[in-house]
Amino acid sequence: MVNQDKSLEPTAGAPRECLDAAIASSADIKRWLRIVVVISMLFFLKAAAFAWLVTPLWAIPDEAGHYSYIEDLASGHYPVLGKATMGSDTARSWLGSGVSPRLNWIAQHPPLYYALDAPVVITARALGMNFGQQVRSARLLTAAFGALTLVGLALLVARAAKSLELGLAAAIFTAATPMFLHLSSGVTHDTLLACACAWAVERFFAWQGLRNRARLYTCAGFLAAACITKITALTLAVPLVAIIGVQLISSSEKWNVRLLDVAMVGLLTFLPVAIWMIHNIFVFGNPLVDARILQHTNPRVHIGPWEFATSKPFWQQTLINYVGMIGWSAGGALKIFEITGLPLRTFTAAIFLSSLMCIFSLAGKRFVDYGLLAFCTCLLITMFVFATQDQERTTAISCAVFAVAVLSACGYGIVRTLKSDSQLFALLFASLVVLFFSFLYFFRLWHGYDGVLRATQGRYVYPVLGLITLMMAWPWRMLRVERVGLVFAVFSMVLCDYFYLAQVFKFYDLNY
Amino acid sequence: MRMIAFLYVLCCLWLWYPIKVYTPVLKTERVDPRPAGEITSRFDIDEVVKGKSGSILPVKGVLCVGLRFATFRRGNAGEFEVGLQQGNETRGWSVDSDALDDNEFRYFCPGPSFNLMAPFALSVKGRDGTPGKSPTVWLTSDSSLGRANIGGHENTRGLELVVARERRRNPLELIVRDHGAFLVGSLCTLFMGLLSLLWMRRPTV
Repeated sequence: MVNQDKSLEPTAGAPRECLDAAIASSADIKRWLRIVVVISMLFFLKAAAFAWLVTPLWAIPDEAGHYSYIEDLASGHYPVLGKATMGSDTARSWLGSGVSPRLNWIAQHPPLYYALDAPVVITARALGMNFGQQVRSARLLTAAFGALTLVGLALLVARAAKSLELGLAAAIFTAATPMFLHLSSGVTHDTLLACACAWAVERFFAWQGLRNRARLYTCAGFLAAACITKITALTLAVPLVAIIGVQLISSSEKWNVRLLDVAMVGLLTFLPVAIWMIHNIFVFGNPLVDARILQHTNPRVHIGPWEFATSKPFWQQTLINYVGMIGWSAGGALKIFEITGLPLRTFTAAIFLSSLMCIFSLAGKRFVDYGLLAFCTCLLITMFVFATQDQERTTAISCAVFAVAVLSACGYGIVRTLKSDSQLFALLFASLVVLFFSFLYFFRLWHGYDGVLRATQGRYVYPVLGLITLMMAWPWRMLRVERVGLVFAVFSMVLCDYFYLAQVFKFYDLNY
Repeated sequence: MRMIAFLYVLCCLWLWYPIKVYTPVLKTERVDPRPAGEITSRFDIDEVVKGKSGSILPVKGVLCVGLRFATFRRGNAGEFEVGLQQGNETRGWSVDSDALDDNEFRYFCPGPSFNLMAPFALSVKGRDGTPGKSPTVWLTSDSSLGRANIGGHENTRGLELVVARERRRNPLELIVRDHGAFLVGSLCTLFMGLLSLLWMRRPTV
């Protein structure tokens, strides 16, 4: 393989394979990496403390089902959808005594997360922990994956946006997102999914700089891990492998080497999930079977895609739930509340501001030249919109502006790429995959619409979390306000704690 | 950057300011919740709430009654009235529709003579709200404390309400909150922010 971009090759003193020397000096990168690692460890400590002492049992989406899956694997049984039931202890703790265990709908998912967490539960049992402590032990692995996601995001954004400040800001802003902290404190596969996908994209961009097989195959390995964690990772894996395939085929290597690399990447990425899907075909006759086979589903309501897109607030709902949807079930009854007020408006404003900056940065070079002044203009517009519009409108406007930013990045990126300008490659790639994901997400919601909006949870975007973060970070780099971005991210952590104090604790005290 | 770091520390400390908190002593469960309809000018809902049964509890502090409202996540306009009657005593509050938080309890404190053990009547009456610009109040299937009358018709559901003790939160409570977990989380937040801000002090490459 040939290193196609010599300017991005690490210098001898740079930490091996960590970041490219073009971003900063070797000493700076080392210091930055230490900070990132310490911050992720602090996040782990916080999430672990919340997992063990704050988040009530079964307050994380589908936690009872996730934990029952782990229990099954810890007992040496592979749960089969339609046959697997909740563990008796889980059912008793969740639904109360005397209630017969329900079928475990979470058995629809691939097994990686559960297989990794099963040894934790076995160890907790061996140490004589009670049931509650066993569940909370299983949560610690989720917290660890949350922390590793932050490292992956920091490296990904620092490398692709070429800014250490923005890398750190991306990690901290994600750590400050209440939903991410909430999920990191429960038994769920979502943080492993986010982690594997973020690292896969990070390795992909690392491979863009230095084309060696180790980077390529670790990218494929992370993709495989993501797909065998949750099938929705295919929305990232398919376009990523496709673009890797195109780049490999068009490289200057011998054709047999090129073909071998393409085959290896495809095999590494898709073999584990293919085996799982073949198992599904044998058992259910459907490779993508899901929990809908367990329940009666209402007939589909026929509505045009445009009417659905314009009349149902699913994007807004997804955005709100991405920022914070706390709780899930107590005693079998849904007990959920969505983030509201100042914390929601601030996080939404950050997305609005970044999207606006992205659109303006793409619109003209002259705008970018003004740097801080251009940023202040965008900030003023954001403040005006959020001061004059209510929550319903600001979330809707933020979704619309984000959509325009994605479409602009796609359109402008394609035009620049056709003119042989590769500077916007990272942004183009991120926006194309986000667009592809958005289309599939929309299609699934629209096609499954039965009169009630379902499955609009923000965590469903975790396969493309890294790419969305990159898209939102990129304009801060363009306008040279990376430090402002980092300061904003840092202060948003206080807002996350405020949210817990003002809303979450109150909710837990009343409902759990 | 030192100044920003100092501001950041102040922000972290601000979280420990002793705000008002409410500890529930009597409440309905949130079961199959439904909005009661927009609180427009013609809206009228009332409920006779049973007092707390059993032995008399020594409750310190001021007792307040909380109702859960929903704003439909929009800015609303106008005002409405909340009334509370117990025995011969009647209290009323005028509520600004735009000042409500979505899906949050709004507390009304009738004063020291309020008796938790005796029944009381709660009412919410619209004043000048218009459709599309008015909030709503939540109903719950848990009617153990009473059933609501909407426009004079008895409903199978009751108002989602809570009677809670109002007090200022002692910062020391936060230290022991969930066995110190919030304190640990706050310290992590503080150090994560400070590390990042102080790292930024280095000269730009």
